[in-house]
Parts: sequence; structure tokens; C-alpha cells
Amino acid sequence: MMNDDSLFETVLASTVHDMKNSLSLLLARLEDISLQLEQEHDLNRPVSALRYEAGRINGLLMQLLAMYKLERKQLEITMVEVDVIAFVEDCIAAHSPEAEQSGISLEYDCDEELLGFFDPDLIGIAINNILGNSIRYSRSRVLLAVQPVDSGLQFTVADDGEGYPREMIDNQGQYARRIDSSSGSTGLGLFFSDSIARLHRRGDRNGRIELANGPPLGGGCFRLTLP
Amino acid sequence: MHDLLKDHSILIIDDFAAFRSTLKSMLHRLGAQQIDQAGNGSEAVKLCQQNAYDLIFCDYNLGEGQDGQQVLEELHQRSIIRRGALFLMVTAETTSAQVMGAIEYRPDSYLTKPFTGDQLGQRLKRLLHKNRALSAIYQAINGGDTEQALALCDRLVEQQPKLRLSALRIKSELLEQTGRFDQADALYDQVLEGQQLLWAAVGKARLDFQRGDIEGALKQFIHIRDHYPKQVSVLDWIARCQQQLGKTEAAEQTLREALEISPKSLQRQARFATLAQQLGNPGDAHRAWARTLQEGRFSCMVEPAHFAGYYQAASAIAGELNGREKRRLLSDGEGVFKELARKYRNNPTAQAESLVDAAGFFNASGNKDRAIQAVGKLASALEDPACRLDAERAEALAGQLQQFEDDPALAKVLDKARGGLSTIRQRLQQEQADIESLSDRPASARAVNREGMALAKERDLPGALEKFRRAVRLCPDNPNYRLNAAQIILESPQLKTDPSSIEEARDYLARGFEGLAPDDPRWKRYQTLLGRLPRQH
Repeated sequence: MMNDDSLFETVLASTVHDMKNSLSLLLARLEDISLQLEQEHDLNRPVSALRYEAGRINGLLMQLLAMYKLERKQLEITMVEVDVIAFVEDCIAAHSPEAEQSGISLEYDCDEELLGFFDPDLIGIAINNILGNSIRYSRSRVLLAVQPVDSGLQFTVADDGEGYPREMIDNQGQYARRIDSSSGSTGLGLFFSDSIARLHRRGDRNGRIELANGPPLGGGCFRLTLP
Repeated sequence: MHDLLKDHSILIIDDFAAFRSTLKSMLHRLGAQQIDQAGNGSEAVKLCQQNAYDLIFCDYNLGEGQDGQQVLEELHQRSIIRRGALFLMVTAETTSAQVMGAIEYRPDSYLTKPFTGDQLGQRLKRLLHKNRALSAIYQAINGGDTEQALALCDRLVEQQPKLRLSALRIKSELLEQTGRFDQADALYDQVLEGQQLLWAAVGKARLDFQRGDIEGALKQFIHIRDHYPKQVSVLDWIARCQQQLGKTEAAEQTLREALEISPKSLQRQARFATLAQQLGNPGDAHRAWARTLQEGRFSCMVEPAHFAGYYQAASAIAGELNGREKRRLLSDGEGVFKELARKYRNNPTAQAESLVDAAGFFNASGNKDRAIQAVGKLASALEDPACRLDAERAEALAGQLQQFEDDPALAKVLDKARGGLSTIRQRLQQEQADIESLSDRPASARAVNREGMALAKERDLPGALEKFRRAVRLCPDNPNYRLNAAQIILESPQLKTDPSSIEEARDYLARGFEGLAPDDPRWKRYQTLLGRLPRQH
């Protein structure tokens, strides 16, 4: 017999799966429409906004599922050798309509042959969430950079906005406490990134996140380091 | 971007028509003109036999039938995907990493649904650029010119430092495949100095294994496992080393761990089942064999020995079970029997290699009618002139048939099976005697080889192969006969897609060429043929 928890988990997983398939088709239709519109058509902006929102729902669904498992301590990290540039391109492509619409230049910096060893789905949810927030708070530029450090990797998401609030930078490591309706998706995103980073373990080291203001773009700078 | 795919032939494999047409229109926008579609794995394999696609998009989840990984495996195993073609796996999994972690053959890239046209274009642009840069190397490898391929790798490292690692990876694998272990070793070291990469670490350990230093290889693989946890391919290697070193229980435990991470691999299930059987755990063995056959339903990798193993394990536990469990075992055994009959309908050799164990199971579990039927089928297979058992297998089969003696119900079919088997054994003995009685074996081999060449000229490839086989049997050390036999297999459209023939060709090329000088024309031919063998993983 299934207990209630595992029944709920099965229902949740299969519902998320179905919703993702629907979203796939929805996104494809929206793309068809946007390609049929003339460059200057009035509907371009709303269609682009719809595409972005559909993509965002997709990301949030994944995060929801992962969060549920995380809380039940059932979230498994599946580390694999990842083609980092493909990972970065996917993150950038997911946010370029939104960046374009807000007039933000979305840049990336990553060696084409870089290989990493991590869970691309979960790190993808984390980075996409941070990227979305950075675009919202930046003035004109957002950068996603990935570099090898020691035997691991460092992801940087930086912008040229106001930067993270002082209080957030002073209380790093206490992300769980910050999840409330006032901190909104930033707090949730940071909590999620922190948890996922920590679950990446190799030998006796594990991943971590760091917040700072200033370089490289003068605004907020989020760093996720994996062992 | 609008003419990115202009001259590329493309295949889309997805069971969901709506996704196929969505992807198709995305590809049209990137300039694609030639796009074929398949709704399942077997359609896809058929299309791949007829067309050499440049780009294959395959959904991982194909519903009933093969999954995307099995399609990729079959294309490689039967060498109907050329080196340099791009295979992109499309996943809709909430955790695509689970799909990625579970692989022996790797696709060139993964696309996670949903993706946009921009995203797809971006990805393809980069993959095609890299592929173009590597295409001269692939061409040299496909043409069998290893030296040229190695030189091109060196040139690429110098000219396009961004693709340095790809070039070095191809180069080290080529050095390894052609037995230049020291050079390959140095190259892996060079890569590892820059970055601890899984493929290079595994490559280096694999070299020790190939040189026969199993202890050393095991140590390295264990070290890799500690740094790259949960990598099934590393666990597979550890189990292989442990098995070689006689540490059967440790090997079984390692495979058990690997199967928990990735249970879908048929070969891993089969290896585990074999070990469990050796260790006297028929229950574990039976479960693993059943899973092997379940995964093998639509796969080309299932073998007669897997069916034989299943029935041996089933016979071993039949006596211990009662009631509902026993009834389930019996009905599973029936299902497997149908599957066996379907799979090996036109393959008497495979039937001869597996049916005796099926008959043994039905007989031991009291299903006399099925036992009679199985022995009857076995007899027909043995009487078929196309049945090619080797001497060892034929001996073993003769022994196995003794279990049915003194059973009047089976007497008639048993007689028939014995008759067929004895004809086969006579033929095998004759062949052996031929070889031993010939006083001048080199001269006979030359004569047989000439006959083979004549047949090859008339395009009677099976006839020619039979002659070259005999020539190799007469003079196993002569490289000419080995080259001829391997070439026939690798040139025949039927034989080169048949896994057992490919194994035969691999055997021919595995020895006999140590004494050739690099300027000997046969060396080049040897390299060419080696290059045509599908890659082993």
C-alpha cells in the first residue's frame, strides 16, 4: 500500500510532468505566432511577455517539485559531466526575450570546452531563478560567467543595479529565515540555490553561495561555487 | 541562421506527432529541407539503414518499444550511424540527469523540453561549427587512415585552441585503439594536469587494464569513484576488475550498487545475473535475468545466453516456491518462451543455444507439454543446415540432453534432437580432421584463399567468407587470410550490421599483425579495417 506522502509525491510528479508537456506545446504555439507577426506589429510585446511567463511557470514548477523533495530529504543530486557552454546558452536563451523587452543587455562568458561535474537540472533551476531577479533589478547589463576554480566551478551572476540590500549581505547563510512574503522570490531563490549548492559534495567539500556588491558590473554579484 | 541546416539530412524520432511537427517547423526556419520522421525506434532504425543522416533528434521517451538510449545503442552496435553524425537526445524528464547518468553510449548533446527555436539554433550552430572543425579527422578515421587522423588532431590543437580538448580526446582514444598505450598514457597525463576530467581519468585507468595491470587499474578506478560519486560507468569498470581478480562477491556487490543507480542497462543486469548465479543466489539471478529480458524486448543487445541463464535460474528456484509464487514463476516462464520463439524465429543457432534450458525448466516444473514442444523446436533448429554451433557448445548440449533420458513422453523428440546434433558434431569433427590431416597446411591455406578470392570477385560474399575462415583455421598466424576474412565482413551490407559477424571480424583483427612494418602495405589495410570496426565501449 502506498502511504499518503508517496501517493502525493507520485501525483505531484506526474502532474508536473503533464503540465510541462502542455507548457512545451504552449511555448511552441506562441513561438509560431510571434514568427508570423510583422516586426512592428502591436502584438509583439504581449506575445513576448506571454512566452516569458510560460517559461517562468515551467521553471517554477521544477523548483516546486525540487523543493518538495528537498524538504522531505528525498532530493537526489545526480552529478554528471556537463558541457558547460550548452548549459550557459540554455540559461541565456531562456531569459533573452525578457532581457530584450526590458532593454537589458544579457552577456555571458564561458570557455567553449569547459566541462563541469554537477546536476544540470537543479543548478539550472537555481541559476535561472537568480538570473531572472538580476534582470529585474539591473539598469542595463547582466552577466553570467562560469570559470573553473580548484577542481570545481564557479558561476557568477552579476548586474549593474543597486546591489543586494546591506542586511542580506550581512546575514549570509541564513536564507531559510528570509523566506516571507516581503522578501518574495529573491529570498526563495537564494534559499534554493544555497540548499542545492550544499548538496553538491565531493570528498569532504561541498558547494556554497556568496553575495556581494560591486565588481564586476558595479551592482549585485551572486556567486555559486561547486567543489 | 536561416540557412544553417541547408544541406543537412535530418531524422526526427518522437512518438508524439505534435512534437515532431513543432520541431520540424523550428528546423525549417533554420533552413532544413530534408527532414524524415519516425514514430518509434524500429522505424527509425529502418530509415537509418537507408539514409546516412547528418543530424538525428531522438526523444528519450518513445512510449511502447525502444527508448531513445536503446535506439542510440542499436545504431552504434549495428554501425548504421556514421562517425561525425550528430545525435541529440530530447528529454522531457523532470530529471534529465537521471537519463544522462545512465549511459554507455553518449549522445552528442541533450535538449530538455521545452526549448525555443532560438535556443535550438544557438545549440546547433555551436555543435555544427565544432563538427565542421573535426570533420577532416572523422573522415580520416572513417577511411582508416589513423596516422593522418592523428596528424590532423595535432594541427587542430594548434590552430583552434578552443577545441583543444575535443581533439586531444579523439587522439588519445585513437592511440589507445591502435595499441600505442605509452603515448596514450602521456596524453591523458597532459590533459589531467590541466583539469581533472572524468574521461581522461577513466582513460588512464583503462590503459592499465588493457596492459594487464588489473590491480593498478582497480586502484585508480576506486580513486575515481571517490571523486566522481555515482558514475555507473566507473562502477562497471570496478566490477570488471574485481571479477578478473577473482573477487566475485565484491564484483557482485559493486554491480548491485550500479544497478540501483541505473537499472535500465541490459548488459549490466546480465553481468550481475551471471555473477549471482555463480555465487549460488538463484533468486537474485532470476530477478536480474527477468529484468534483462524485459529491457531486451526491443533491444538488439539481448543474447541467447540471456534466455538460457533465465531458465537455469528459474529451474533452480522452482523447487523452493509454492502456491501463488510458483504459479507466477510458471506463467513468467511461458511468457519468456513466447518471447524467445518470436525473437529467434529465423535464427536456428540462437534457438539451439537457448531452448534446452527452457525445456529443462518446463520439465522440472511439471509442464510436460511445453517441455516436449521445446525439445521439438530444438530438434528442428539442430536439423536446420544454417545452425552453426561451435564444438564446445555442441559438446555441452549433448551433455544437457541427457537429463531428458528415460522419459517416454520425450523419447520421440529427443531422438530427433540427438540426430540433428550428431550431424552437427560429425561436421565439426570433419572440419577438425581436415585441418589436422593436411600435411602441407600453408599450401592448402593458399589454395583455399585463392578459391575465396575468386568467389569474392563474383560477389559471392558468404561463400568467400567460408573459404577465408578455413584459410585462417589452417594458418592462424597469416595476416593475409585474416585481412581477407575481416574485409568481407566489413564490406558486406548484411554482415557488417550483424553483431556476431562484427565480433568475428574483430577477432580476425585482434592478432597476427604484430610483425608488420609500418611501411608494409598490409599495415595500412589493417589500419583501414580497424577504423571500420564500430567503436567498442
